[in-house]
Amino acid sequence: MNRITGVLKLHSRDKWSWIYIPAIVLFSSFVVNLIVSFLFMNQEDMYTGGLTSIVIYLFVAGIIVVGKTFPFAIGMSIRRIDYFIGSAIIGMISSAFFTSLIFLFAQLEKQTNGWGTRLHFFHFPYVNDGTLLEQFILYMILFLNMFFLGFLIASYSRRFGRKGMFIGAMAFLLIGSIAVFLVHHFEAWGSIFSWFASQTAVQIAYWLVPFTLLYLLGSYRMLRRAVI
Amino acid sequence: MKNVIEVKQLNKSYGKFNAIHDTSFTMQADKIYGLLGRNGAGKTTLMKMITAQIFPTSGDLKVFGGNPYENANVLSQICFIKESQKYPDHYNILDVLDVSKSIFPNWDVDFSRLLIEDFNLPLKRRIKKLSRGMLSAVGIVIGLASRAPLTIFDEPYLGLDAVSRGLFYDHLMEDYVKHPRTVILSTHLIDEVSNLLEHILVIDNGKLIIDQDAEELRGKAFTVTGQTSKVEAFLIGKETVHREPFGGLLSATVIRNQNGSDQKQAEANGLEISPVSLQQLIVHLTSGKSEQKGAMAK
Amino acid sequence: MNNLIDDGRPIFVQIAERIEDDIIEGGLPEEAQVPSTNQFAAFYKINPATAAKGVNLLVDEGILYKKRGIGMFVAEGARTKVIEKRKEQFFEEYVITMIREAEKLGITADQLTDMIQRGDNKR
Repeated sequence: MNRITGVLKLHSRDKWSWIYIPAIVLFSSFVVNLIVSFLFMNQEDMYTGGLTSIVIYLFVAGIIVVGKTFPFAIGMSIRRIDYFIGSAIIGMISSAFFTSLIFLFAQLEKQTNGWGTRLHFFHFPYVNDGTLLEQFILYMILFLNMFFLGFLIASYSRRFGRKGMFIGAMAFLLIGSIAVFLVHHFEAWGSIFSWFASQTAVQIAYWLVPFTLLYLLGSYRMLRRAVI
Repeated sequence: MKNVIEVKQLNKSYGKFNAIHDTSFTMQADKIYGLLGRNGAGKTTLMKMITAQIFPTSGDLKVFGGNPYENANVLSQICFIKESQKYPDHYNILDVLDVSKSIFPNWDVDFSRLLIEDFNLPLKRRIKKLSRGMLSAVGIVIGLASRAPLTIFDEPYLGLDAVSRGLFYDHLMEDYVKHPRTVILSTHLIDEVSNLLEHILVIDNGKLIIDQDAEELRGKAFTVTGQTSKVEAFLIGKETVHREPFGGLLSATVIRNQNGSDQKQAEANGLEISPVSLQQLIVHLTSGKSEQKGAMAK
Repeated sequence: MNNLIDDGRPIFVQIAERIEDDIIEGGLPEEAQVPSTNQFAAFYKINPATAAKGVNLLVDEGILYKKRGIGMFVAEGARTKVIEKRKEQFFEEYVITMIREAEKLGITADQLTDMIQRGDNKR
């Protein structure tokens, strides 16, 4: 347990990667959009995809954290499992932090009718249709999913190196192509779309949970045998 | 005495390349060991296996009585400072010290401060911006202040000047006397450290060729010089590790026999005797030229 | 790295010799306390275990003795013992070598005695 705190400390020393940079990315995008919405103020709602920046940032954070800290941690006699648990906790804390932030701003945006300019930056129809709790859970799952997907890719790369990454990417493309081909062949596109349409946003988010757990399990398996 | 490290028939291969070949040895508690050998001989590979940073291909490895892999009890007693230690990019020296403090159970804050002052390290400077020598000094500070029961220094002084290296040896010995622990110094600067070592292991091409008490090793060989024919006559039946002709003269380094009678014999034959330093002996044994390689492995 | 110690011979032997020198020259009179092994280690920059080996060598020869919990002391009659030992070494290291070299150069025993006399006068 003692060593997990060490890993938490190790990560928390990097406030830039975990808080400042993503906050800057998110809010600079928000400010730009807000200014734009002021300049072009009309009676129509304005929608932006600015929020995806933070989603992508968490994915990237999951990728870079391993390369940045794994060799240091193992070099400091930290167990792989402790590194894994500590890093996963940091990923969760970071996800929870940004979920809360976005949740708060979404409510504000809703109350102020889009900051007075009908801007939709944090609050969207469909996505924010559910209860408050559901809205919170949705972002939390989304962020965790993105972070651990990045973490899995980086762990895979740690374990199998460049050659492994190439083979992995090829395998992914191949399986993807076969899947698309099969869907096409059986003319299943329609039913897939109608399935998605029948689900609420949070229901779709729930479907990400098993994937996220798989990423977690996968990254642990990789890191366990990773060397420096 | 308690064994800190027990290695039995350890192998590590990368494809067809044997980085460590069938190596067995033990290391006892609270001694200072020298792990010597040329660059690329396999020293770092061996230490990385001991600290579970890489995995052996085969063989048995016990550290503090257990397998070090994912073993909290074992790993928490180890501090391994290697030349290529990586630090997170954005870290400054203070960050490294703070993290080390929360990782190593025996960390001594005051001692770390003292070392930082002695090595003139700028606490707030980023690791990325440190000179090679300063980076090495950071490693040395961690290694010493961690007071880990097994402390390993792998070529810890790249880029450090003679003064700073002296500082390192002084602090190491001073602190070792106060807080005895097992120390492994891996280096090719044998002359500088040889007096500090109690026991010496030499690795050459992935094989352990010497595993001996430093003192025994020190008087182990001597050099005879004289007329080629006389020296050749003397060398018959002796373990020769090095020979160097010079005009009509021959200079040869031989392993002393048990009772030292061969030195007397050489003196009686009118041959010039000179001592062989540890550095010279090990260079001879690992230079790849000697006909008696591994002569001392037994 | 350290001129006080030469690397070609076992260090513990050299440490023992240093202590013996001190005893002969009076720096360490009988019943005087000998520096601790850690002090030797710090001064000569050597491993404490090696220093201890040197000290123990002299304990075995009865030149030093151990007071439990206090330290090492010069034994009674140590100086005489050391001088006797050194005389024997002197014979081995210098006299034998000298005679051997003299033989090589064709110096007779009488000439050698003469030379020693001359050297003594020159002092």
